[in-house]
Amino acid sequence: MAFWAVALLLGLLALPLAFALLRRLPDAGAGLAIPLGLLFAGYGYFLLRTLSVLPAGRGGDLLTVALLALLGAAVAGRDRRFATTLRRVWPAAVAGAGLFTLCFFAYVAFRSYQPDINGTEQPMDFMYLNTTVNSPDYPPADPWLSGHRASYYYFGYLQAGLLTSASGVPPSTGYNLSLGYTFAAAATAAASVAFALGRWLLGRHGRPWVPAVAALAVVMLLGVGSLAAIWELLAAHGVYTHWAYRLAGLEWLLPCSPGQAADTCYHGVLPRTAAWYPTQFFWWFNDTRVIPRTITEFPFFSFLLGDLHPHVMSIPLALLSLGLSAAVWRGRSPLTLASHRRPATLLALGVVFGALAFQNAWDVLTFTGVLTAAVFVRNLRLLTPGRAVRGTLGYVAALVLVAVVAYAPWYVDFRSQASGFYAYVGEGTQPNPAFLTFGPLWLAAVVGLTWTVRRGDWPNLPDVLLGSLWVPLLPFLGWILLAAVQGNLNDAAAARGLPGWITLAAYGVTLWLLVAAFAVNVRARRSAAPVLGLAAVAVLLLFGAELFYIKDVFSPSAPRLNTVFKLSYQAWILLALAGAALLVGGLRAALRQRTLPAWLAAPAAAVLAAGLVYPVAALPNRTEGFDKDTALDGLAFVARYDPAEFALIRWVEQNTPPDAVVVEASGRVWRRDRNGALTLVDPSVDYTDAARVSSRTGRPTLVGWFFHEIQWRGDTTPNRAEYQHRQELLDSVYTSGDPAAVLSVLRTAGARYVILGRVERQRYPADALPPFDAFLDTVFTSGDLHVYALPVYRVVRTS
Amino acid sequence: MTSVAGISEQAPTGDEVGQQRAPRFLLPVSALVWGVAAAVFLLLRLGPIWQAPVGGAELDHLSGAWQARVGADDARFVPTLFQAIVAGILHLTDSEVPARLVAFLVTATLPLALYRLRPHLGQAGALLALILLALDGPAIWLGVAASAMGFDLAIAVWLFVFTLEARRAPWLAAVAGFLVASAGPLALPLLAAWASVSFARRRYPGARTAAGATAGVLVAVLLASLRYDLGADGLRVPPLDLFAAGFDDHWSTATAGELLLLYGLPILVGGAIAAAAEAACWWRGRTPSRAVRLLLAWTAFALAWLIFASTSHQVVPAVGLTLPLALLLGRALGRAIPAMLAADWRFARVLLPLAGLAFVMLAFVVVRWARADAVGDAPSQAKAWLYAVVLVAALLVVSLYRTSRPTLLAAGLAPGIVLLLFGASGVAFSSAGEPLPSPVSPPQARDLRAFAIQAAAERGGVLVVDPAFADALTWPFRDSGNVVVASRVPPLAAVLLWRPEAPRPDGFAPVVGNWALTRAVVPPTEGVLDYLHWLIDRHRLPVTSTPVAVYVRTQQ
Repeated sequence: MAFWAVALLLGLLALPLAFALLRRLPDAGAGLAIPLGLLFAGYGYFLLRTLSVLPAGRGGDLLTVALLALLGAAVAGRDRRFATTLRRVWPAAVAGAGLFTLCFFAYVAFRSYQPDINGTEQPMDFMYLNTTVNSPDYPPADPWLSGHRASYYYFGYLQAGLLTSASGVPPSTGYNLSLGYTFAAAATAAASVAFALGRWLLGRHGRPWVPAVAALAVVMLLGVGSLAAIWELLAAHGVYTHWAYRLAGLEWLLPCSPGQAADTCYHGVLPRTAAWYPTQFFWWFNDTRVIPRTITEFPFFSFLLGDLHPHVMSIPLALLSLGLSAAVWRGRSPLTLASHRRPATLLALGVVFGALAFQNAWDVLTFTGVLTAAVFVRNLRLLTPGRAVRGTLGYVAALVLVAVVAYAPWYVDFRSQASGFYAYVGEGTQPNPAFLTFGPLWLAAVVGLTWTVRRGDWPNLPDVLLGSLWVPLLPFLGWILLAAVQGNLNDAAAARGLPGWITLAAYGVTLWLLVAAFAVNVRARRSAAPVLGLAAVAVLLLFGAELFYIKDVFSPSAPRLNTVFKLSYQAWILLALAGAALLVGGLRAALRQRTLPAWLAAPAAAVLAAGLVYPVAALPNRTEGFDKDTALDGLAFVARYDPAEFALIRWVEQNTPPDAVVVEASGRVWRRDRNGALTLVDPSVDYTDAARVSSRTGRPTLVGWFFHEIQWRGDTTPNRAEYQHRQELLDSVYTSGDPAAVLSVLRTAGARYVILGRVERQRYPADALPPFDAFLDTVFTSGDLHVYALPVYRVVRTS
Repeated sequence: MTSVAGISEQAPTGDEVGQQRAPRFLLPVSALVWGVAAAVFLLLRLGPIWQAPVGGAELDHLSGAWQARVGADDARFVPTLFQAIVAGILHLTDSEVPARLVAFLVTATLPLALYRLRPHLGQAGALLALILLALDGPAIWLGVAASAMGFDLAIAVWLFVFTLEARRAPWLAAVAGFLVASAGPLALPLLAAWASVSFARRRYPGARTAAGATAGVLVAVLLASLRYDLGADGLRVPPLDLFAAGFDDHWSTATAGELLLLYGLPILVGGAIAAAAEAACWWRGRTPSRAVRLLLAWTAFALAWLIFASTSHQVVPAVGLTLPLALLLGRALGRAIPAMLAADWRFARVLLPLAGLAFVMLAFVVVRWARADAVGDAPSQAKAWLYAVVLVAALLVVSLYRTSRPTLLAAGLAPGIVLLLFGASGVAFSSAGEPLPSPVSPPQARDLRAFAIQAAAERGGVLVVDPAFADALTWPFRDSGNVVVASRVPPLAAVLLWRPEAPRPDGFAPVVGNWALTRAVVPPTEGVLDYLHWLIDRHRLPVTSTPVAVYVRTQQ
């Protein structure tokens, strides 16, 4: 309750700010106030902690909330229309709070069946949440690399930490509640922006349909999943024909025939279900791996999985930025450098758009691009093209400058993992998995083409179509150029394969037509333009991910893994908003006019409904039929399965200073060979319980997940050497058997505590462990688990 | 008030003028009442200066100040102005009494501040607010304890006076800025309230005033960051540091919420009713005065602080809330009491005593339950219900008559005053069973020091303390030479203050006795009966202590 109340309080305090920035939206930004409030509180906390003005701990978080209240009062005082706006939009504010409450508690209820912070990258997420809460200095430390500050886009964790700390819940519970907050804030923000788009699109006569747009946007964003779920559900029940699965490209879901390669068919446990839904373990995970060597995650999956990742936590912020772009679009005066007469507004916008990079670096270009387009089109309505370009550049450049300066302390420590922009020269995405994944949302947007272009626009269409062609062509020419420079254009063309070219063409044509429709509506000054624009940007992202990729540490094995993952996620957000408005508009037009839209809108709606099979089947799978004990503490599973280890974690959390360096297992597995020599038998540490004390308490250790540190700090020889050296130091504590060597490592690392927990006992042979209690103090014991500390000796003057 | 006290209270007639000599002095009744109230306010604070054990935040901060005095870094030294003064005083004496006297002297200006608030609270309102503050247990303790927040109460009230001043001299703003930024967190809710009200109404201070206040704040922050010449320690803003520390540190056995309910219930309930009434008037369109607006905003911020800090172990948020509520309640009572006196007492004069009688009878029954720590049997419950019904019915009948309704105030005042007096006397007389202050450093800790120093000297070794006790020992073991804090027994150890659960070190013999370094009173928070039992028997609360094993070396 406290967590929910603090989130709502932040929204309430940020209402004046929302009104000032988003008054042009029908709800004056009331639905976006919650993420806006948390964003500004989080920014204030980050800045003031970095400047050492705010103290660490819960008090610092609460002081930030008080500062937000003062900011709200100041903005309300200066806003002469505040009272009238409040009187106008209070029903929307109440509805937003109600939707937030409903979604928050619904999600938390679901999560209570699966609260474990365990598996995938959740330990990493938990580590970042803990460090933003516990770090005695700011910018926060990287607990998985003692002595270093975090080098990641951790602003989402900081905001989650602020809610956690301010509400007084432990981080292991705050983790799950933060997921609930993100889900609810995303729903509320999506409803707010979609309501605005729908209201503008459908006009005065379409008002009764507008709530449907908002509701559908929430469902499309957070409810719809991959169409592959239907096929999986049927396959699990043994209902299938081979040709249909071949057509869908999902023959690997069918049981293996004798002699068939295991990776081309299902070779797991049969039968796959014992209930009406698939009961196969992690069944729902497959649908995000439909396109080979990529990840096509969608929001429902994210919330089902429960990784508190930056791309998930950034959904409300992305929607907030889209709301601001929509508000900019509706403005009636040109926006140029001179428009930044009010530094406070410029700073506020800078804080929002700068946060995009800090929260999920992939978002900053896309959503700043959307804003730039909105500014440009607004200027184009009011200025000559040349002045519109200059004005837009001036306006956006100033904003970008402020956005960068506002978050300068973060940039100092941040090392981007991107190392170049390349043409993608591998196998293209096949049409069937692409449709299975994006089909429901894509079709909803395509419906818009049928009714947003009117008969009166037809004479202009040839010109517009020709003029719009450069939008898909330019990236394609860029791809040709880059592929040629990379030296393998012919191979690239061949490698893509016919199915890949078909998908590319489908994206390209859709993009072309959407841009043309957008241009027609811009020229006619119709309210369909922003919706079509958002749809076009979404398809451009999908199209772009087929042509290019950002090189990162995953590139050697899966070149475009992250590019497709992150860009398609953004596309999903955009398509959910635009698709909801265009589909509802199409259905309305179909019912009113009984023309072409009727033919397309109905099947599009049906396909969309088919996308709801995934959540319906996945929820009971994930929660084991809602037949489990419930909890909200993400470490309850540790308490259940290993109470001694749980007690050890809690002891470290409550009895060691936040900056105390702890020594724990590197995660590598050591055994004695036949000759009795210690041998490293498993060097892998990522995605294991390595550095679990660090991640669960935020206390720094020498090194955590090796490959993740490489991701965050760069794959360089010195980095690898450094991290490996640290792993060796950690291992030596548990394997050297020499007290002097152990003490030397502790002194070198500035560590005071040595953990001998379950993981250490599993990773190292018992006979290799030194007699810690002989030269260290045993400060905690639970069964055979211990925490040791360097002996204390100091002379204290008392007079 | 125009009546006077002294030789005659009636004005002489014309004939008498010539015959009577003019009185030597005339003392207005108002001055007399103010004087009595101020005396009560001061007298209730005198006792704790000498009698109260060092405990709670005071124990922490005196330890910090002592560490600063000996030149040791210690996080418990938070560089407020008062803390710096205490560190200076400790150069002259190792007693806590002079530091408490300084806090008392500053707090003693509070009646004057309340007197200055008469135009805003009304003559009677300001006076009643002073009486309420005089009887507020936590405020009594905070105003005289040598914690880092010793000046806070006075600064908060004087800041309220300052914010209501029509003209604010820049130098005064500088002083206010300096004092607020070099104090604890008590004034923060008022500061936030003042800022939000000013922002919302676009009434900003003048440039000179703002510059003065900023300069004062900067000087305070600079001095705090230099720790008043005790060594730089990064950027320090004491009110913010102490605000945050209150959530993490253990400054009280009872939580802020518990302390408020134990000591401030009458002010909380009465103040909440007064605040709700003012807010309701505002909602209906009657714009309240600037002072009331500010008080309402102050209450809102203080309430938010208390809600968030309700489970933290400190007393400051409780005082933070009772302070504006006492001012609001005093103002409201100042108007309500005359209305009560002027009300229609036809029914009330019968029914209220009847309600009082029922209340007393009910109290007898419930007190018996409280003593037994269990609800009584069915006949006893039936009796209790009967008295309760009579009580409620009598009050309901009175409330049915609009003209009689103000007399209900009497029914609220009586138990409120009793509860306040109980709380105030408990703290003012420093009863050993009071949960405020707690935990405390018992006199036994000082005895232990004397013994340990003597034993170490006799054996020609050093006193060694387990790290777990290092912080608790700072104050009682002040001025004891060098003490070794070690987790293992060093060769030169002669006396050990060790964890009782640790095995006896070789070559050492235990010193028999129930040695304790701190003593804590467990607050009566297990239920209403527990609370009532404490009200009637304030010495019954269980006491816990931090046991210490004491060893002396037997072999060389």
